[in-house]
Amino acid sequence: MGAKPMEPAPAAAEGQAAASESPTVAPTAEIELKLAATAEMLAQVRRSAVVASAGTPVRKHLDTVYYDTADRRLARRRAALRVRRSGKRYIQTLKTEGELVGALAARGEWESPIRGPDPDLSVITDPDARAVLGVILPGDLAPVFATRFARETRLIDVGGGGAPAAQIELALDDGRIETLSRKDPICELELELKSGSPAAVFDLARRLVAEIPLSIAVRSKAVRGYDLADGRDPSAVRAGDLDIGSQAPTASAIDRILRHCVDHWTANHEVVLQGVDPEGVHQMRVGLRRLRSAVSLFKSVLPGEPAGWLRSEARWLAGALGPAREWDVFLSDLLAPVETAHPGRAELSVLRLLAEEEKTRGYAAAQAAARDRRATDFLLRFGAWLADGGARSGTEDARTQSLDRPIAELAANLLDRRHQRVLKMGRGFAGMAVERRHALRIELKKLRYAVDFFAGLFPGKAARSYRRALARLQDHLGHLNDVAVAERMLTALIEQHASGTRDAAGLGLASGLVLGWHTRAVADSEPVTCQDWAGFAAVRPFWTRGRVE
Amino acid sequence: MSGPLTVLVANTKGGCGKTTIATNLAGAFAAAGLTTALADGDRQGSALGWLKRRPEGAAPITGLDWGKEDGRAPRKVARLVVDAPAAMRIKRAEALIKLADVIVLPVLPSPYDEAATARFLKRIEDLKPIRKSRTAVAVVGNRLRPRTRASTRLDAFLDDIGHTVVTRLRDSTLYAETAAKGMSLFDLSTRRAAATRQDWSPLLHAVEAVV
Ligand SMILES: Nc1ncnc2c1ncn2[C@@H]1O[C@H](COP(=O)(O)OP(=O)(O)O)[C@@H](O)[C@H]1O
Ligand SMILES: [Mg+2]
Repeated sequence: MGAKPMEPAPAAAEGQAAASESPTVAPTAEIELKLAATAEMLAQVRRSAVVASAGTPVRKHLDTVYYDTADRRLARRRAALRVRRSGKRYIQTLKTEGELVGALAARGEWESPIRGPDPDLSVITDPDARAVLGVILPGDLAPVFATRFARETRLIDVGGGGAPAAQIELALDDGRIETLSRKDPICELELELKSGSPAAVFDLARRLVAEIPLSIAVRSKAVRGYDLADGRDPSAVRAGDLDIGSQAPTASAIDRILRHCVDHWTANHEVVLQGVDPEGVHQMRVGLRRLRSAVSLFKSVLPGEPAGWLRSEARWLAGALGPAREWDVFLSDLLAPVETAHPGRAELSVLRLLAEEEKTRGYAAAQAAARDRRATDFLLRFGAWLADGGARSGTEDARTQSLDRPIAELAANLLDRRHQRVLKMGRGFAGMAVERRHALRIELKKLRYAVDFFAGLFPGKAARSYRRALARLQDHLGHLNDVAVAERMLTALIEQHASGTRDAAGLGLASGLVLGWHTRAVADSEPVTCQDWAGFAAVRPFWTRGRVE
Repeated sequence: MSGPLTVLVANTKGGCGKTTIATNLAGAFAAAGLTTALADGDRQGSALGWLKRRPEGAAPITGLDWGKEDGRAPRKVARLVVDAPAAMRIKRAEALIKLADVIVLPVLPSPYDEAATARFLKRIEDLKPIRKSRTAVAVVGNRLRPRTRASTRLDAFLDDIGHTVVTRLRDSTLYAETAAKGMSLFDLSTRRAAATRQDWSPLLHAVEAVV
């Protein structure tokens, strides 16, 4: 069980996980999405035509206290216990999600009125609920945080005039999360499908985003509350394993894979905004690159319509994260070791200062892009596309057939193709020119992503050794690339400061020192790199054609 | 996790309080409204005997006879307590430990018990689930009065072998009195029982902390 309380809602759209499991979206699947706003933006939302025409909203003040044990047992068990005050009445709710203790896998919600503000567990008698609570002794539960906000809800009817009709509840939440010593504002909107097509929720959200620069919101109020109470920053998230199941039809496997990449991106969204952990920018960029790679991997079966914008939008956003990541890598992996070896060199201090400035600029740009409505719209467009049938939508007959086949067949073919391509490009590795090494590195990365996507289909030792050999080789070539990228960055930096008042000559000297240092290191490691190539070229592919039973 | 949260109460020494602890743990889970099973791994069947004496209307506990062979818990059981026999072959100990999320090890403050405990711990320490910390070991000092010489000695002994007690259960006639009626401390509402129950909080917290 993860240490995180109630995993962040997948992307902006809760309920989508269930939707993408099955090829068609069940009309009853709960579709809910959340967007971050400012008070000013909420006012704009109220004024916007679609919302204003929905009439007067229902206003409520919601005052909710969340309880847990000192060791956060409920959060660990992916449950939340809260008492909500409504006028003079108190409603207690226990919510659980996913896998529970005692083999009771269930999502559940138990709600009952209680007499006062303190939780009263005696009203919870369902054994499924008790199993999650476990033994709670007197005094075990304490308030963790409270959410206090004004909620304004409106029912909005969309569609008509050709488009399918749907009813959506729009809630505007304005208030704060509180712990004993800290406060964090709540300012967001939530859209929930009441009836009609799930895509309608995304379409409405996109209409609002076209007018108002709303941005992506990932963490639920409960997750934010726990983070605030425990003084935890949102932490960077790696891709995680993906198990699509070899019998999954190609279309749903593609949906799962694309969705996995998008989740990887959005799970790191708030880490990027926080701007503290460099891993956030890195992981978000990896997620977007994987997304692009997935789109090109499946180009034979994906129609041009989503493929085009998926690729271009992912490229734009990943590009906006580039400088932040590159300066991070430069400072920690390239400059730092040279500084350690040359303590007290003034030229290196100048370089550090300028590099830090560039990094700060890079982070500002990365955050602006993450917050940009273009990013929000990209995510919503993806959600709409998935809700509309994903890879299966807009199918011509020729494609339909291959989309119904089990993914394992296609996977083996695609892996084969990428593997062969790498082997071909790697011929004559030892004496290879730098440019060809770079091309090979990029091809290897594509292979790596494909292997990651499909790894769950091929359990066993062969896949593990293959991935190990691949990762080792990538490490070396990656460093080679870092040095090449640094050369480009430093050249630009020197140009930029050539006529400045700062020590331009010193900057040149420091840059030369850093580049020289690492160029030499790359040259030194050449025999090992060649060995790693040989190791990879000899490793047996772990997939076999048509492995499907 | 799949299957119930499983607590194995074990020590090779007889009379150290295994059945007492197993029945009271089961009683605590049942009283908390959890679907509970108690497996008796001892051919003597004292835990099952306790269940037979259990009065109607007390929080229900399902008994499982594992005297000859280990079985499985029925579906939907949230907590399973296993009362292990004093003497068991290493294969059986291994199988039971693999099943368990927590091993509760009662120790009496006596040189004989300490020696037996040290041997038992040494035997199980190399087993995979324990080596890999998948199974937690909770040592419980039994029949202790706090701040007595015996209690201090036991602490020193455990410290020596790299353990600490999770809790100390006081010596109390309540245990024999309730056992005779098929009850646990958690079935009583007297003030005396409530005071004695305090000893159990750290253990219950430790058990619930594993998932
Ligand atoms: N904390 C305690 N206080 C008083 N008596 C106890 C305590 N723990 C166990 N006993 C008594 O010690 C005896 C042996 O305990 P038991 O649980 O049957 O041990 P085991 O199952 O390990 O052989 C029983 O008579 C029991 O009532
Ligand atoms: Mg016994």
